[in-house]
Amino acid sequence: MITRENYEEYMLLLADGELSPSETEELKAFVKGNTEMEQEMAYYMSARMVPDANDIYIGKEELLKKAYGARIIGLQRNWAYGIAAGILLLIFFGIFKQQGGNSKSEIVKKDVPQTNSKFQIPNSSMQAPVAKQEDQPSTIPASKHSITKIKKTITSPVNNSFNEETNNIARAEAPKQDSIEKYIARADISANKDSQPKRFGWRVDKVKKDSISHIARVKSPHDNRGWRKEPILFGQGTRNVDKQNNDTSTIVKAAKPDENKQPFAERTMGERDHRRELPEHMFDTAALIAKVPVDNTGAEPKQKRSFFAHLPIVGRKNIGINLVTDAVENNVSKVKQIKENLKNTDVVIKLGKKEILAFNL
Amino acid sequence: MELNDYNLCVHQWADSLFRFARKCLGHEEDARDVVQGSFEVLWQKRKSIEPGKAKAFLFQVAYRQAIDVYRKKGRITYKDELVHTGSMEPGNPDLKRVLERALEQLEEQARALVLLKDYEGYSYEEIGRITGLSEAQVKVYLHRARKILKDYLVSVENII
Repeated sequence: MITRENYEEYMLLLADGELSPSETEELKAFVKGNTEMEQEMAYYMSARMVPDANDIYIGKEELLKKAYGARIIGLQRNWAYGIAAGILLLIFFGIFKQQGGNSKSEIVKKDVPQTNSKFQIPNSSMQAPVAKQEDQPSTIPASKHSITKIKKTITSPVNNSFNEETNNIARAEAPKQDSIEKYIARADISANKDSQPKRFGWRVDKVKKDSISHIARVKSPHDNRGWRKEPILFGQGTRNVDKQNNDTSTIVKAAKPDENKQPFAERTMGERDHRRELPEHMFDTAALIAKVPVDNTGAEPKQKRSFFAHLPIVGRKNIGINLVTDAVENNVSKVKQIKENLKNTDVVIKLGKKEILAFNL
Repeated sequence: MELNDYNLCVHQWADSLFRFARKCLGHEEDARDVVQGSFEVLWQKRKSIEPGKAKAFLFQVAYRQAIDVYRKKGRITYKDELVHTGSMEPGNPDLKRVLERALEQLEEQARALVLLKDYEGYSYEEIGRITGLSEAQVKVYLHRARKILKDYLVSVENII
Protein backbone atom coordinates (compact mmCIF):
# COMPACT_ATOMS: atom_id res chain seq x y z
CA MET A 1 0.00 0.00 0.00
CA ILE A 2 1.52 3.32 -1.05
CA THR A 3 1.23 6.10 1.48
CA ARG A 4 2.73 9.52 1.96
CA GLU A 5 5.32 7.94 4.24
CA ASN A 6 6.62 5.35 1.82
CA TYR A 7 5.89 6.78 -1.62
CA GLU A 8 9.54 7.96 -1.92
CA GLU A 9 10.83 4.44 -1.53
CA TYR A 10 8.42 3.33 -4.22
CA MET A 11 9.81 6.07 -6.43
CA LEU A 12 13.37 4.85 -5.77
CA LEU A 13 12.35 1.30 -6.57
CA LEU A 14 10.74 2.55 -9.73
CA ALA A 15 13.97 4.34 -10.68
CA ASP A 16 15.89 1.12 -9.99
CA GLY A 17 13.43 -0.86 -12.10
CA GLU A 18 12.47 -3.06 -9.21
CA LEU A 19 8.71 -2.37 -9.21
CA SER A 20 6.30 -4.74 -10.81
CA PRO A 21 3.88 -3.35 -13.45
CA SER A 22 1.00 -3.40 -11.00
CA GLU A 23 3.03 -1.53 -8.39
CA THR A 24 4.11 0.94 -11.05
CA GLU A 25 0.50 1.61 -12.02
CA GLU A 26 -0.42 1.98 -8.39
CA LEU A 27 2.36 4.53 -7.84
CA LYS A 28 1.37 6.49 -10.92
CA ALA A 29 -2.22 6.56 -9.70
CA PHE A 30 -1.05 7.70 -6.27
CA VAL A 31 0.98 10.67 -7.53
CA LYS A 32 -1.52 11.60 -10.17
CA GLY A 33 -2.98 15.02 -9.48
CA ASN A 34 -0.16 15.94 -7.08
CA THR A 35 2.25 18.21 -9.00
CA GLU A 36 4.90 18.15 -6.32
CA MET A 37 4.96 14.36 -6.25
CA GLU A 38 4.91 14.13 -10.02
CA GLN A 39 7.91 16.47 -10.27
CA GLU A 40 9.76 14.54 -7.59
CA MET A 41 9.15 11.30 -9.44
CA ALA A 42 10.40 12.96 -12.64
CA TYR A 43 13.62 13.96 -10.87
CA TYR A 44 14.16 10.40 -9.67
CA MET A 45 13.59 9.07 -13.15
CA SER A 46 16.00 11.63 -14.56
CA ALA A 47 18.69 10.67 -12.05
CA ARG A 48 19.32 7.39 -13.86
CA MET A 49 22.54 7.04 -15.76
CA VAL A 50 22.34 6.22 -19.45
CA PRO A 51 25.33 4.50 -21.04
CA ASP A 52 26.97 6.22 -23.95
CA ALA A 53 27.15 3.86 -26.91
CA ASN A 54 30.05 5.84 -28.38
CA ASP A 55 32.16 5.20 -25.34
CA ILE A 56 33.93 2.05 -26.50
CA TYR A 57 37.15 0.31 -25.66
CA ILE A 58 39.73 0.72 -28.40
CA GLY A 59 42.20 -2.11 -28.74
CA LYS A 60 40.22 -5.25 -28.13
CA GLU A 61 42.69 -7.16 -30.32
CA GLU A 62 45.27 -6.75 -27.60
CA LEU A 63 42.97 -8.56 -25.20
CA LEU A 64 42.23 -11.45 -27.52
CA LYS A 65 44.19 -14.64 -27.06
CA LYS A 66 45.50 -16.84 -29.82
CA ALA A 67 45.77 -20.58 -30.03
CA TYR A 68 48.85 -22.16 -28.56
CA GLY A 69 50.01 -23.36 -31.98
CA ALA A 70 50.52 -19.79 -33.07
CA ARG A 71 52.70 -18.89 -30.13
CA ILE A 72 56.25 -17.91 -30.90
CA ILE A 73 58.75 -19.46 -28.56
CA GLY A 74 61.95 -17.56 -28.23
CA LEU A 75 65.24 -19.41 -28.43
CA GLN A 76 67.05 -17.23 -25.97
CA ARG A 77 67.02 -19.98 -23.40
CA ASN A 78 68.25 -22.56 -25.89
CA TRP A 79 71.25 -20.68 -27.13
CA ALA A 80 73.58 -23.46 -26.05
CA TYR A 81 71.75 -25.96 -28.22
CA GLY A 82 71.85 -23.53 -31.11
CA ILE A 83 75.61 -23.18 -30.82
CA ALA A 84 76.01 -26.95 -30.63
CA ALA A 85 73.90 -27.45 -33.71
CA GLY A 86 75.91 -24.84 -35.57
CA ILE A 87 79.19 -26.53 -34.65
CA LEU A 88 77.85 -29.86 -35.82
CA LEU A 89 76.80 -28.40 -39.13
CA LEU A 90 80.19 -26.82 -39.60
CA ILE A 91 81.93 -30.11 -38.88
CA PHE A 92 79.81 -32.07 -41.32
CA PHE A 93 80.00 -29.50 -44.05
CA GLY A 94 83.75 -29.26 -43.54
CA ILE A 95 84.18 -32.99 -43.96
CA PHE A 96 82.10 -33.17 -47.08
CA LYS A 97 83.72 -30.15 -48.60
CA GLN A 98 87.15 -31.60 -47.97
CA GLN A 99 86.20 -34.87 -49.59
CA GLY A 100 84.72 -33.08 -52.57
CA GLY A 101 87.90 -31.03 -53.05
CA ASN A 102 90.11 -34.15 -53.05
CA SER A 103 87.98 -35.79 -55.67
CA LYS A 104 88.21 -32.79 -57.91
CA SER A 105 91.97 -32.69 -57.65
CA GLU A 106 92.11 -36.35 -58.53
CA ILE A 107 90.08 -35.76 -61.61
CA VAL A 108 92.34 -32.99 -62.73
CA LYS A 109 95.43 -35.07 -62.19
CA LYS A 110 94.19 -37.90 -64.31
CA ASP A 111 95.79 -38.23 -67.64
CA VAL A 112 93.24 -38.97 -70.19
CA PRO A 113 95.03 -41.67 -72.19
CA GLN A 114 96.23 -43.42 -69.05
CA THR A 115 92.86 -43.85 -67.58
CA ASN A 116 92.69 -47.19 -65.87
CA SER A 117 89.09 -47.08 -65.02
CA LYS A 118 87.25 -50.27 -64.96
CA PHE A 119 84.62 -48.52 -66.95
CA GLN A 120 87.05 -47.87 -69.73
CA ILE A 121 85.88 -49.88 -72.64
CA PRO A 122 88.39 -51.02 -75.16
CA ASN A 123 88.00 -49.44 -78.48
CA SER A 124 87.34 -52.74 -80.12
CA SER A 125 84.09 -53.09 -78.27
CA MET A 126 83.17 -49.48 -77.66
CA GLN A 127 83.76 -47.76 -80.91
CA ALA A 128 80.65 -47.39 -82.88
CA PRO A 129 81.73 -46.67 -86.38
CA VAL A 130 79.37 -44.90 -88.62
CA ALA A 131 79.36 -45.59 -92.24
CA LYS A 132 80.48 -42.43 -93.91
CA GLN A 133 78.72 -43.36 -97.05
CA GLU A 134 76.03 -45.79 -97.66
CA ASP A 135 78.18 -47.71 -100.08
CA GLN A 136 81.05 -48.03 -97.69
CA PRO A 137 81.05 -50.89 -95.31
CA SER A 138 81.43 -49.77 -91.78
CA THR A 139 84.61 -50.64 -90.02
CA ILE A 140 84.02 -53.08 -87.31
CA PRO A 141 86.23 -52.69 -84.28
CA ALA A 142 86.50 -56.32 -83.54
CA SER A 143 89.85 -57.67 -82.71
CA LYS A 144 91.51 -60.03 -85.12
CA HIS A 145 91.78 -62.66 -82.54
CA SER A 146 88.08 -62.73 -81.87
CA ILE A 147 87.27 -62.75 -85.53
CA THR A 148 89.58 -65.66 -86.07
CA LYS A 149 87.88 -67.54 -83.32
CA ILE A 150 84.51 -66.80 -84.72
CA LYS A 151 85.60 -67.90 -88.14
CA LYS A 152 86.77 -71.17 -86.81
CA THR A 153 83.52 -71.70 -85.11
CA ILE A 154 81.45 -70.84 -88.10
CA THR A 155 83.38 -73.04 -90.42
CA SER A 156 82.54 -76.00 -88.31
CA PRO A 157 78.89 -75.53 -87.60
CA VAL A 158 78.31 -79.17 -86.85
CA ASN A 159 80.68 -79.06 -84.00
CA ASN A 160 79.06 -80.40 -80.89
CA SER A 161 80.55 -77.73 -78.78
CA PHE A 162 79.23 -75.02 -81.01
CA ASN A 163 76.97 -73.49 -78.47
CA GLU A 164 79.60 -73.47 -75.81
CA GLU A 165 82.14 -71.87 -78.02
CA THR A 166 79.78 -69.28 -79.31
CA ASN A 167 78.90 -68.46 -75.78
CA ASN A 168 82.53 -67.98 -74.99
CA ILE A 169 83.02 -65.84 -78.03
CA ALA A 170 80.07 -63.72 -77.23
CA ARG A 171 81.27 -63.19 -73.71
CA ALA A 172 84.69 -62.34 -75.00
CA GLU A 173 83.27 -59.78 -77.36
CA ALA A 174 80.79 -58.36 -74.97
CA PRO A 175 82.25 -59.09 -71.63
CA LYS A 176 80.46 -58.64 -68.37
CA GLN A 177 77.32 -57.22 -69.75
CA ASP A 178 74.89 -59.72 -68.47
CA SER A 179 73.12 -57.16 -66.40
CA ILE A 180 72.53 -54.77 -69.23
CA GLU A 181 71.59 -57.71 -71.39
CA LYS A 182 68.92 -58.66 -68.95
CA TYR A 183 67.69 -55.15 -68.90
CA ILE A 184 67.49 -55.07 -72.64
CA ALA A 185 65.72 -58.40 -72.68
CA ARG A 186 63.13 -57.12 -70.25
CA ALA A 187 62.62 -54.06 -72.34
CA ASP A 188 62.20 -56.20 -75.42
CA ILE A 189 59.76 -58.49 -73.73
CA SER A 190 57.72 -55.59 -72.51
CA ALA A 191 57.77 -54.18 -75.99
CA ASN A 192 56.47 -57.48 -77.29
CA LYS A 193 53.70 -57.43 -74.76
CA ASP A 194 52.64 -54.08 -76.08
CA SER A 195 52.62 -55.60 -79.55
CA GLN A 196 54.96 -52.94 -80.77
CA PRO A 197 57.40 -54.14 -83.35
CA LYS A 198 60.62 -52.89 -81.81
CA ARG A 199 63.36 -54.78 -83.44
CA PHE A 200 66.07 -53.09 -81.47
CA GLY A 201 64.07 -52.76 -78.37
CA TRP A 202 65.62 -50.74 -75.65
CA ARG A 203 68.39 -49.02 -77.51
CA VAL A 204 66.20 -47.67 -80.23
CA ASP A 205 63.73 -46.52 -77.65
CA LYS A 206 66.28 -44.67 -75.64
CA VAL A 207 68.07 -43.02 -78.50
CA LYS A 208 66.27 -40.60 -80.64
CA LYS A 209 65.78 -42.35 -83.89
CA ASP A 210 66.52 -39.35 -86.03
CA SER A 211 69.86 -38.72 -84.46
CA ILE A 212 71.24 -42.16 -84.07
CA SER A 213 74.73 -41.38 -85.07
CA HIS A 214 75.95 -44.35 -83.14
CA ILE A 215 73.82 -46.72 -85.08
CA ALA A 216 75.09 -47.36 -88.51
CA ARG A 217 72.39 -47.93 -90.96
CA VAL A 218 74.10 -50.14 -93.41
CA LYS A 219 72.57 -50.67 -96.68
CA SER A 220 72.95 -54.33 -97.22
CA PRO A 221 74.04 -55.34 -100.69
CA HIS A 222 71.93 -58.39 -100.27
CA ASP A 223 68.69 -56.59 -100.09
CA ASN A 224 67.66 -57.85 -103.42
CA ARG A 225 68.29 -61.33 -102.18
CA GLY A 226 65.78 -61.10 -99.49
CA TRP A 227 68.04 -60.20 -96.58
CA ARG A 228 66.72 -58.07 -93.86
CA LYS A 229 67.62 -54.44 -94.00
CA GLU A 230 68.02 -52.97 -90.58
CA PRO A 231 70.41 -50.93 -88.50
CA ILE A 232 73.17 -52.66 -86.67
CA LEU A 233 74.72 -52.00 -83.33
CA PHE A 234 78.36 -52.75 -83.73
CA GLY A 235 80.65 -54.24 -81.23
CA GLN A 236 77.96 -55.03 -78.73
CA GLY A 237 75.70 -57.87 -78.27
CA THR A 238 72.17 -56.81 -78.92
CA ARG A 239 69.08 -58.50 -77.87
CA ASN A 240 66.56 -59.58 -80.31
CA VAL A 241 63.27 -61.16 -79.58
CA ASP A 242 61.83 -63.64 -81.85
CA LYS A 243 58.33 -62.34 -82.11
CA GLN A 244 56.80 -65.60 -83.10
CA ASN A 245 58.18 -67.74 -80.35
CA ASN A 246 59.14 -65.04 -77.83
CA ASP A 247 62.56 -66.53 -78.05
CA THR A 248 64.93 -64.15 -76.44
CA SER A 249 68.37 -64.59 -77.75
CA THR A 250 71.45 -62.56 -78.17
CA ILE A 251 72.77 -61.92 -81.59
CA VAL A 252 76.33 -60.97 -81.88
CA LYS A 253 76.75 -58.99 -84.98
CA ALA A 254 80.07 -58.37 -86.44
CA ALA A 255 81.48 -57.72 -89.78
CA LYS A 256 84.78 -58.43 -91.16
CA PRO A 257 86.46 -55.20 -92.04
CA ASP A 258 86.72 -56.32 -95.57
CA GLU A 259 86.04 -53.48 -97.89
CA ASN A 260 84.46 -55.36 -100.75
CA LYS A 261 82.31 -57.73 -98.85
CA GLN A 262 79.01 -57.53 -97.18
CA PRO A 263 78.94 -55.40 -94.09
CA PHE A 264 77.34 -58.00 -92.00
CA ALA A 265 75.73 -61.27 -92.02
CA GLU A 266 73.19 -62.40 -89.65
CA ARG A 267 72.47 -65.68 -88.17
CA THR A 268 70.18 -66.43 -85.36
CA MET A 269 70.37 -69.57 -83.39
CA GLY A 270 67.53 -69.63 -80.99
CA GLU A 271 65.58 -72.50 -79.70
CA ARG A 272 63.94 -72.77 -83.08
CA ASP A 273 67.37 -72.86 -84.64
CA HIS A 274 66.56 -70.55 -87.49
CA ARG A 275 69.90 -71.00 -89.05
CA ARG A 276 70.01 -69.49 -92.41
CA GLU A 277 71.58 -71.41 -95.09
CA LEU A 278 74.26 -69.05 -96.08
CA PRO A 279 76.18 -69.55 -99.26
CA GLU A 280 79.65 -70.86 -98.76
CA HIS A 281 81.28 -67.72 -100.07
CA MET A 282 79.49 -65.69 -97.46
CA PHE A 283 81.60 -67.20 -94.72
CA ASP A 284 84.65 -65.66 -96.20
CA THR A 285 83.33 -62.18 -96.37
CA ALA A 286 80.36 -61.78 -94.18
CA ALA A 287 80.40 -61.24 -90.56
CA LEU A 288 79.51 -64.07 -88.40
CA ILE A 289 76.53 -64.48 -86.29
CA ALA A 290 76.60 -66.46 -83.20
CA LYS A 291 73.82 -67.16 -80.95
CA VAL A 292 74.40 -66.72 -77.32
CA PRO A 293 71.80 -68.19 -75.07
CA VAL A 294 70.28 -65.92 -72.53
CA ASP A 295 71.64 -66.15 -69.07
CA ASN A 296 68.49 -66.78 -67.10
CA THR A 297 70.21 -68.13 -64.07
CA GLY A 298 70.04 -64.77 -62.38
CA ALA A 299 73.66 -64.99 -61.33
CA GLU A 300 75.32 -61.73 -60.52
CA PRO A 301 77.80 -60.49 -63.05
CA LYS A 302 81.38 -60.87 -62.05
CA GLN A 303 82.22 -57.30 -62.87
CA LYS A 304 79.84 -54.42 -63.07
CA ARG A 305 80.15 -52.10 -65.97
CA SER A 306 79.01 -48.56 -66.23
CA PHE A 307 75.88 -47.82 -68.10
CA PHE A 308 77.75 -45.32 -70.19
CA ALA A 309 80.24 -47.97 -71.19
CA HIS A 310 77.52 -49.68 -73.16
CA LEU A 311 76.58 -46.61 -75.07
CA PRO A 312 78.27 -46.43 -78.41
CA ILE A 313 79.72 -42.99 -77.87
CA VAL A 314 82.93 -42.28 -79.63
CA GLY A 315 86.09 -40.38 -78.92
CA ARG A 316 86.33 -37.68 -76.33
CA LYS A 317 82.77 -37.98 -75.20
CA ASN A 318 83.49 -41.48 -74.15
CA ILE A 319 86.57 -40.43 -72.26
CA GLY A 320 84.77 -37.54 -70.64
CA ILE A 321 81.93 -39.70 -69.53
CA ASN A 322 84.36 -42.20 -68.15
CA LEU A 323 86.04 -39.47 -66.17
CA VAL A 324 82.74 -38.28 -64.82
CA THR A 325 81.66 -41.76 -63.85
CA ASP A 326 85.02 -42.36 -62.21
CA ALA A 327 84.71 -39.18 -60.22
CA VAL A 328 81.16 -39.95 -59.17
CA GLU A 329 82.09 -43.42 -58.12
CA ASN A 330 85.07 -42.19 -56.19
CA ASN A 331 82.94 -39.71 -54.34
CA VAL A 332 80.32 -42.29 -53.55
CA SER A 333 82.88 -44.73 -52.28
CA LYS A 334 84.53 -42.11 -50.13
CA VAL A 335 81.28 -40.98 -48.65
CA LYS A 336 80.45 -44.58 -47.88
CA GLN A 337 83.82 -44.97 -46.26
CA ILE A 338 83.28 -41.87 -44.16
CA LYS A 339 79.89 -43.11 -43.11
CA GLU A 340 81.39 -46.44 -42.13
CA ASN A 341 84.12 -44.72 -40.17
CA LEU A 342 81.64 -42.53 -38.31
CA LYS A 343 79.35 -45.40 -37.53
CA ASN A 344 78.94 -46.20 -33.83
CA THR A 345 80.97 -43.17 -32.89
CA ASP A 346 80.12 -41.18 -29.81
CA VAL A 347 80.13 -37.45 -30.39
CA VAL A 348 80.28 -35.16 -27.41
CA ILE A 349 80.12 -31.39 -27.73
CA LYS A 350 81.39 -29.32 -24.86
CA LEU A 351 81.26 -25.68 -24.04
CA GLY A 352 84.11 -25.19 -21.65
CA LYS A 353 83.89 -28.11 -19.28
CA LYS A 354 80.19 -28.52 -19.62
CA GLU A 355 78.85 -31.19 -21.91
CA ILE A 356 75.97 -29.77 -23.80
CA LEU A 357 75.31 -32.48 -26.32
CA ALA A 358 76.27 -36.12 -26.67
CA PHE A 359 75.02 -38.58 -29.21
CA ASN A 360 75.97 -41.70 -31.02
CA LEU A 361 76.19 -41.66 -34.77
CA MET B 1 35.94 -21.59 -20.26
CA GLU B 2 37.83 -22.18 -23.46
CA LEU B 3 39.75 -19.87 -25.68
CA ASN B 4 36.78 -19.09 -27.87
CA ASP B 5 34.63 -18.29 -24.85
CA TYR B 6 37.24 -15.92 -23.57
CA ASN B 7 37.55 -14.13 -26.88
CA LEU B 8 33.78 -13.92 -27.07
CA CYS B 9 33.76 -12.27 -23.65
CA VAL B 10 36.25 -9.72 -24.89
CA HIS B 11 34.01 -8.82 -27.78
CA GLN B 12 30.87 -8.73 -25.66
CA TRP B 13 31.94 -7.09 -22.42
CA ALA B 14 35.04 -5.02 -23.03
CA ASP B 15 33.06 -1.91 -23.96
CA SER B 16 30.66 -2.06 -21.02
CA LEU B 17 33.48 -2.83 -18.64
CA PHE B 18 35.41 0.11 -19.98
CA ARG B 19 32.40 2.45 -19.51
CA PHE B 20 31.90 1.24 -16.00
CA ALA B 21 35.56 1.66 -15.10
CA ARG B 22 35.76 5.04 -16.75
CA LYS B 23 32.73 6.41 -14.91
CA CYS B 24 34.00 4.96 -11.67
CA LEU B 25 37.50 6.37 -12.02
CA GLY B 26 36.89 9.44 -14.16
CA HIS B 27 40.09 8.74 -16.08
CA GLU B 28 40.40 6.92 -19.37
CA GLU B 29 43.88 5.45 -18.96
CA ASP B 30 43.09 4.14 -15.51
CA ALA B 31 39.96 2.61 -16.94
CA ARG B 32 41.94 0.91 -19.70
CA ASP B 33 44.30 -0.52 -17.13
CA VAL B 34 41.37 -1.83 -15.15
CA VAL B 35 39.87 -3.47 -18.22
CA GLN B 36 43.13 -5.12 -19.19
CA GLY B 37 43.71 -6.30 -15.66
CA SER B 38 40.20 -7.70 -15.42
CA PHE B 39 40.54 -9.71 -18.62
CA GLU B 40 43.96 -10.90 -17.60
CA VAL B 41 42.52 -12.27 -14.37
CA LEU B 42 39.71 -13.86 -16.32
CA TRP B 43 42.21 -15.56 -18.61
CA GLN B 44 44.25 -16.83 -15.72
CA LYS B 45 41.20 -18.27 -14.00
CA ARG B 46 39.36 -19.38 -17.09
CA LYS B 47 39.49 -23.03 -16.10
CA SER B 48 37.34 -22.43 -13.02
CA ILE B 49 34.88 -19.96 -14.52
CA GLU B 50 31.85 -20.92 -16.51
CA PRO B 51 31.15 -18.81 -19.59
CA GLY B 52 27.75 -17.72 -18.19
CA LYS B 53 29.35 -16.19 -15.12
CA ALA B 54 32.18 -14.47 -16.89
CA LYS B 55 30.47 -11.07 -17.03
CA ALA B 56 29.79 -10.92 -13.31
CA PHE B 57 33.34 -12.08 -12.65
CA LEU B 58 34.74 -9.35 -14.90
CA PHE B 59 32.73 -6.62 -13.15
CA GLN B 60 33.69 -7.99 -9.78
CA VAL B 61 37.36 -7.78 -10.62
CA ALA B 62 36.92 -4.39 -12.25
CA TYR B 63 35.05 -3.06 -9.22
CA ARG B 64 37.82 -4.15 -6.86
CA GLN B 65 40.53 -2.77 -9.08
CA ALA B 66 38.61 0.47 -9.51
CA ILE B 67 38.31 0.83 -5.75
CA ASP B 68 42.05 0.27 -5.41
CA VAL B 69 42.81 2.80 -8.11
CA TYR B 70 40.35 5.27 -6.67
CA ARG B 71 42.02 5.07 -3.29
CA LYS B 72 45.41 5.63 -4.87
CA LYS B 73 43.93 8.40 -6.96
CA GLY B 74 43.35 10.50 -3.86
CA ARG B 75 47.10 11.03 -3.72
CA ILE B 76 47.47 11.73 -7.44
CA THR B 77 46.38 14.79 -9.37
CA TYR B 78 45.87 14.33 -13.08
CA LYS B 79 46.58 17.22 -15.38
CA ASP B 80 44.00 16.10 -17.88
CA GLU B 81 41.28 15.87 -15.30
CA LEU B 82 37.84 16.41 -16.65
CA VAL B 83 37.11 20.07 -17.11
CA HIS B 84 33.50 21.04 -17.09
CA THR B 85 33.07 24.23 -18.98
CA GLY B 86 29.91 25.55 -20.51
CA SER B 87 27.83 22.51 -19.65
CA MET B 88 26.09 24.26 -16.83
CA GLU B 89 25.44 27.44 -18.65
CA PRO B 90 22.14 28.97 -17.63
CA GLY B 91 19.38 28.34 -20.11
CA ASN B 92 21.22 25.48 -21.76
CA PRO B 93 21.39 22.71 -19.28
CA ASP B 94 22.92 19.46 -20.43
CA LEU B 95 21.32 16.76 -18.36
CA LYS B 96 23.95 14.23 -19.25
CA ARG B 97 26.79 16.42 -18.11
CA VAL B 98 24.89 17.42 -15.00
CA LEU B 99 24.45 13.79 -14.16
CA GLU B 100 28.12 13.12 -14.70
CA ARG B 101 28.91 15.97 -12.37
CA ALA B 102 26.42 14.60 -9.88
CA LEU B 103 28.01 11.18 -10.17
CA GLU B 104 31.33 12.64 -9.22
CA GLN B 105 29.79 13.81 -5.99
CA LEU B 106 29.18 10.22 -4.93
CA GLU B 107 31.57 8.00 -3.06
CA GLU B 108 33.31 5.37 -5.12
CA GLN B 109 31.19 2.53 -3.79
CA ALA B 110 27.89 4.35 -4.34
CA ARG B 111 29.02 5.36 -7.80
CA ALA B 112 29.79 1.79 -8.66
CA LEU B 113 26.42 0.67 -7.40
CA VAL B 114 24.59 3.25 -9.49
CA LEU B 115 26.58 2.34 -12.58
CA LEU B 116 26.05 -1.36 -12.09
CA LYS B 117 22.35 -0.76 -11.66
CA ASP B 118 21.80 1.71 -14.47
CA TYR B 119 24.38 0.65 -17.01
CA GLU B 120 24.19 -3.10 -16.64
CA GLY B 121 20.76 -3.52 -15.09
CA TYR B 122 21.92 -5.88 -12.37
CA SER B 123 19.53 -6.75 -9.60
CA TYR B 124 20.29 -5.99 -5.97
CA GLU B 125 21.32 -9.57 -5.44
CA GLU B 126 23.71 -9.58 -8.39
CA ILE B 127 25.20 -6.26 -7.36
CA GLY B 128 25.63 -7.70 -3.89
CA ARG B 129 27.62 -10.64 -5.33
CA ILE B 130 29.81 -8.30 -7.33
CA THR B 131 30.52 -5.83 -4.61
CA GLY B 132 30.51 -8.23 -1.74
CA LEU B 133 27.63 -6.47 -0.07
CA SER B 134 24.36 -7.89 1.10
CA GLU B 135 21.22 -7.30 -0.89
CA ALA B 136 19.84 -4.98 1.82
CA GLN B 137 23.07 -3.01 1.89
CA VAL B 138 22.96 -2.61 -1.84
CA LYS B 139 19.43 -1.36 -1.67
CA VAL B 140 20.17 1.14 1.08
CA TYR B 141 23.37 2.44 -0.47
CA LEU B 142 21.81 2.65 -3.89
CA HIS B 143 18.78 4.59 -2.67
CA ARG B 144 21.02 6.91 -0.78
CA ALA B 145 23.04 7.58 -3.88
CA ARG B 146 19.92 8.06 -5.95
CA LYS B 147 18.63 10.71 -3.53
CA ILE B 148 21.96 12.54 -3.79
CA LEU B 149 21.70 12.56 -7.56
CA LYS B 150 18.11 13.79 -7.42
CA ASP B 151 19.00 16.52 -4.97
CA TYR B 152 21.87 17.57 -7.20
CA LEU B 153 19.53 17.84 -10.16
CA VAL B 154 17.03 19.82 -8.11
CA SER B 155 19.75 22.15 -6.90
CA VAL B 156 21.01 22.76 -10.43
CA GLU B 157 17.48 23.33 -11.60
CA ASN B 158 17.00 25.83 -8.82
CA ILE B 159 20.21 27.64 -9.80
CA ILE B 160 19.10 27.78 -13.44
